Amino acid sequence: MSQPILPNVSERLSDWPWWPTIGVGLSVLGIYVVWLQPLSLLAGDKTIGLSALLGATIGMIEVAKRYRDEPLKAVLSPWGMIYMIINALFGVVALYFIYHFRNVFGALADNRLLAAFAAGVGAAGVLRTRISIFKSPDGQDVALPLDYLISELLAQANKQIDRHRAKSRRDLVERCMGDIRALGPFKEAADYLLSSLLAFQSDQEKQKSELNTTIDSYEKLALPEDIKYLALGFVFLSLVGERHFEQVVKNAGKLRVEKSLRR
Amino acid sequence: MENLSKHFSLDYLVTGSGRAPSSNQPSPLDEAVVMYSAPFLRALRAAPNRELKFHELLKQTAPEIQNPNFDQSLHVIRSLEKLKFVEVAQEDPYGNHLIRAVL
Repeated sequence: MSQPILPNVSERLSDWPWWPTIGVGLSVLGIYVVWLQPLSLLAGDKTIGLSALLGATIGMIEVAKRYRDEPLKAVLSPWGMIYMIINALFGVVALYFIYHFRNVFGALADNRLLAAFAAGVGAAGVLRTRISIFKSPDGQDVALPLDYLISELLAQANKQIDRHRAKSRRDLVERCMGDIRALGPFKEAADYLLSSLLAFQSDQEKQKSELNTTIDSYEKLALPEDIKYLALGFVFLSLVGERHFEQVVKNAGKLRVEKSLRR
Repeated sequence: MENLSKHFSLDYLVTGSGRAPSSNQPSPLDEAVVMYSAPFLRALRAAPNRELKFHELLKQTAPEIQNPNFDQSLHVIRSLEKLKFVEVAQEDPYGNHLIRAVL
């Protein structure tokens, strides 16, 4: 049955990160109107793309590093993209600052390539900084939290990416649950999945021992078997990613059949 | 100098260590508990005041949760309580606690 279109649209709209979008929009507009009116300084400057690219790349790495199982999916999710675009914008604004305040930046502003590089990387560095500016009477560092905006944006991005991923992860595990159960009792199913996983990956010993510890701890829990099977599914899904998960489960099934034929 | 490099460094992007905050991804077990408990949470959210006695909750969710086991289901509720999805509003010496949906 096809999904109704209207609820999806309204769901998407309600999920849209309105406050940071509006905040960033107003900031850009404010900077433009109040301070940076002669944007012509950047017109025709191809290195603007380099600043944006560097900023976006740093944002991309930040997101990708948090989702090692599906880095690309996380980066290309709506919030991953928004976070990258915001970082790219910071790079562009920093480049503008360099050109606008030529007397401060001196020779740097005369070399467009260097300026673009400094803007892209510099903006990322400064906006992730927490500078101690002075000591309060009770000896505490009073910090200027320049990293506040980026930390908040990243926390929001993480939250939304988690929500975005949670549904697809649940759907996938649910779809494969019959195959995982068919592998046998919990411990046996775990062993087949582990054997299947090891056929995919190198650097196995450490991972094998960590997985065995996790699986043993799950086995001892006083929770329903269904939860243990589901948890097993999520463990392997996190390890191999959504693209390979079904293949690993299918391979585990094949290993089971081969073993029963050998008996 | 050391402080400056600590303040301005983007090293954590390369090394994966340091101050970069991690995502709030739940553990596989938590994901499993929440997925399994969807009928419990649905029933609680639909109940008056979003609360039900444990026995009633089990009765209402019996068609969806196969072979429910009293002790195991109580462990599930305790796990949901730790995850702050529900709270045990009133303890009962016979296990018929009053469970309330929080989220």
